[in-house]
Amino acid sequence: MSDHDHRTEHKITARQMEDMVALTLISSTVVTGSSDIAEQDTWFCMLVAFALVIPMLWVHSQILELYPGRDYYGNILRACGPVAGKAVLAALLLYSLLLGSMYLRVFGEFIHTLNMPETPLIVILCAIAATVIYTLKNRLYVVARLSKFMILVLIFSILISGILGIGKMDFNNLKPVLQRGFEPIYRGSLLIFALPMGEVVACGPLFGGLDRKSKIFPTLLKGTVIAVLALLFANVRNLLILGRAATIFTFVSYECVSTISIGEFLTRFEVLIGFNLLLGGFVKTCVFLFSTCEGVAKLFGMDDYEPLAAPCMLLMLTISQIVYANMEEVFNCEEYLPYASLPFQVALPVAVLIVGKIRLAGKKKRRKPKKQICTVPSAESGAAQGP
Amino acid sequence: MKPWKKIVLALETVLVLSLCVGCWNYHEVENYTIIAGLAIDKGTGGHKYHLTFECISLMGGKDTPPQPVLIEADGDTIFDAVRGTISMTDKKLYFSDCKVVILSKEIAENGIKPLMDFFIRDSEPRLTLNFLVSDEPTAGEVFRPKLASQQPVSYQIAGMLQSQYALGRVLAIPLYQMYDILGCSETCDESLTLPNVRVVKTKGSEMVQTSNNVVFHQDKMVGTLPEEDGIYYLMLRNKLSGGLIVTGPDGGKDITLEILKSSASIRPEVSGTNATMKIAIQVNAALAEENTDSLQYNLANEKFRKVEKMGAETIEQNVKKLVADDQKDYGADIFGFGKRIYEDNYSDWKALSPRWEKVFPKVKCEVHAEVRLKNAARAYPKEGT
Repeated sequence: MSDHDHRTEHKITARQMEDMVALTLISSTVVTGSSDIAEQDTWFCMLVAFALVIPMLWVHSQILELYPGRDYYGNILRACGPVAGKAVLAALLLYSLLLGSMYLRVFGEFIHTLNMPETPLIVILCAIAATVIYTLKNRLYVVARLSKFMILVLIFSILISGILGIGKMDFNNLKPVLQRGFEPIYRGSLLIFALPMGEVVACGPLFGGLDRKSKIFPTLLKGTVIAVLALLFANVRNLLILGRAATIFTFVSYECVSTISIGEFLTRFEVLIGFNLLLGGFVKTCVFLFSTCEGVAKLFGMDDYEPLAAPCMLLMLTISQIVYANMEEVFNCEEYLPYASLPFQVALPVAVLIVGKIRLAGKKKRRKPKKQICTVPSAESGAAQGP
Repeated sequence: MKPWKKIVLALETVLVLSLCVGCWNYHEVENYTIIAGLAIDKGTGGHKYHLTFECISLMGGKDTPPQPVLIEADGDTIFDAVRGTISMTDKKLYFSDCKVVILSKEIAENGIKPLMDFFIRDSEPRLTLNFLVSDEPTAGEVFRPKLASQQPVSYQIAGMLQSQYALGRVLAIPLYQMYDILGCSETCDESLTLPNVRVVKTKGSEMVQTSNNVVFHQDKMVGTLPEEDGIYYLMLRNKLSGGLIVTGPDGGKDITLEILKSSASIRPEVSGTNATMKIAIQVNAALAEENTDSLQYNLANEKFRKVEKMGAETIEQNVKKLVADDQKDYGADIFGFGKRIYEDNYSDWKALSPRWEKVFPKVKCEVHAEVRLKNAARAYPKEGT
């Protein structure tokens, strides 16, 4: 079967796409445990961030539907013209590349810090990179199919850790509710909006492979809802079990689940969080790499992203090594990342949509008079014929 | 896809996953010295800490139980002392199975927050690790006795802490909850307690015992709660799931009630700079023993209500005494009263928090206890029998 056949025959179903979007949004925060700025009110920040991201989901779905073909980057190029379009494209793909590299580093650091301190970080990252390249070389639908399976494992592990941890939960840890003023809520919501909700921008290019019968906005929304529910559950579990101590750990979920045990014979459940990382982090890296490759392919007028998978991954791998000097920087940058991300997550997509809509409306207007001139004699235009 | 194919594929996936585990960090168990517990004393020779590690020796035959071996080292930090042991033993210490950390009184009095950092930061020690304070002159002495069971002292102490649900004397606070309380002390001024441990010498043998709660003011040890107050302290902290209340008419101690379930709710009321804690305690118990010549109380008897009342009065008196003594002697908010105000009346707490240390000793307590007897164990003796 040729490559082209591969691409056309294996469409991604709406369900697979939802799971892929959900895994992209969940994976890193399920390990690091999301915002600590608002402490016990983080659950509220998640709901605020979710409410804020819904309009952005609509914006992305509208960009995908600007022109036929559901080609996110292609539509940006058509909407903004070759020069501005390529500039926007370059910005978005660089954002994907940088964010993908940062997450790759976080996943590597997680394994390196907690499980394999003697294994060099680069070896861990190379192992992840090789698997990601191999999977993407086998086309995106492979990642989509994997997602459908992986999301079940992830949700099961989050649920089971929550249920087994009920005995250790102190529900007073949720108090005082929304009493600490506006500032922590605002900063917490902004952080969660930017990381991970706004990262949905990297999912835009995935929709080129979506089954044509499936609608884009409901698919994006369902994926985000699954992610929000999983993140809420994980965050509340961490807070109820660890209390204030949840704010001091690098990988909160991992530490939280490590306290859970059933007697002496069932202990060390944190391996479940390790699973979450491997599964979710893998899909997330695949999505960011795909987004980068697709952007580069469109930028340079290439037919397909596949030859770019390995070079872009190597670039990602290299950047991941230099992007942070140490692990502390990963968490320090959380303070600035929301502001740095907003142009890519909000400003550019909204601008593209506005320009695209205006240009589309302009084209229609220009087409209309022509149509009227041509079609006046025909019976097609009843208005022109008059009563 | 047929179901059997799915099963085969799932099994294959598990097999592949199991083959893909990281082997770079693979270690043989013989290459490690497994630590069961460690004791921290003040250092010698200019060093800050002196650590005594109770290690599990895996030497010996199949039928020989693991023998505890002691290793001692000095260091300026905990990790410095840990790594210092490599010069004495060719193996690296392995902390994943470490159950307890014993602190000397001197160390506890100087503040424990700095030395907790290693245990919370390093990836090997578990967050469920328990800290205790030694009653002996040094912490290392706790590991010296040869127990009749031949098992490591650390494992025996860990077992005793786990069995507290049936005794209700000391409150075992795992490492992550210690951090929660000490972290909270910055905003809620909550204070910590840790169990103590001592060596008890009986004829021909030695054993370890943990029976008191050591009081900390923030992270510094300031005193010890009396042994008999332990159960009421746990009751107030809502951590009691067993234990006995000995009560009787006119302050007597003839009747033993076995606690089946206990729950306490603390409702703060703040007016200006005064705070009142309304404490409601509900205990479900069983009449476990009536140590009198003539049995008077049974379930069908009206006097049975008297036992419930006696039990409730005993609880109320002891809880009031416990709080008053702590306020007078230590002024340490070990009950989490401040945290309760912080949680339930945040605006009041903002006004109170800057002077909580002065307010806490004057906090009034209104205690209302209710005891419900659920059964009289297996005997049902009649009146006068």
